[in-house]
Amino acid sequence: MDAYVYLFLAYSIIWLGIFGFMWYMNKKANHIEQDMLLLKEMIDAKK
Amino acid sequence: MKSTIDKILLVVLLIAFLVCMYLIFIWVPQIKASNASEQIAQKIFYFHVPSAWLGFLAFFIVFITSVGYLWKRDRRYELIGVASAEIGVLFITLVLLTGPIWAKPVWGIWWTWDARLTSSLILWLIYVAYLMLRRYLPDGSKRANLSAVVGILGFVDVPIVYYSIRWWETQHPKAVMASGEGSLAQPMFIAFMFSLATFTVLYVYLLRKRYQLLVIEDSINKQFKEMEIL
Repeated sequence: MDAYVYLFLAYSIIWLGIFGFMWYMNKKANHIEQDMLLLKEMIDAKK
Repeated sequence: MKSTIDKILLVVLLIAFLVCMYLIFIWVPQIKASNASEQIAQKIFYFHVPSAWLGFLAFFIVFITSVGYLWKRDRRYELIGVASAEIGVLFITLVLLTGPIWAKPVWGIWWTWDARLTSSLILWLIYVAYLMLRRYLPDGSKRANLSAVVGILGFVDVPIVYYSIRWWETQHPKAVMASGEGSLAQPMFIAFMFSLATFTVLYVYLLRKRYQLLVIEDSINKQFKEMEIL
């Protein structure tokens, strides 16, 4: 394989890792927002 | 949920990474090496080493917060530790992936069981175990205590990874920051330090974001538990 392929592969993996982690945090934030809505509904129902 | 500090950090990161790419691929001259493959693959170093640095920094914070938790019993220390361990595992994973990608064109092999590579793999396994422990044990003081102990003991491997190239004969290149033969030329040194600083800012940004999410998640889980009791 050409050395440029290795270089491209290495940098792609690093960017994928960084953006992947940001995507994971974004997914977590969306999940938390859904939980907050559910919690609000439960509190309202108890009142 | 974005604070002003987070927005500033994100803008700084975007600019800094663009500058990094310019420095690495355009500004820094290619090294003098025996073959063209080595010259090109050397560019991996500018992100590979800062990734390792970020991993070490993250595990150092896990160590500090683990000690802090056992001492003060403050939940905040525990959550910062978890956030930092996740980031550390991510970046050591990147180190373990980009290392072999550099090694293949330069050494002709993907992997060798030398001291630096093996101790790095062990470091990764320790903190993967830390995260698994947190995932599979029920929430409570037992989980917090156990993970703090693993966070402290696991850090023992960080200096072993760092000094492995001095303590043992390894195939891994020696420290390039040292003076004398094999040290970095000035443009390479500038690009490397800039990349190191950028990765440090990235760590601060990721840690802040992950910690904020963990705090909210923790508070929601507490409220769910209270609702179940009522």
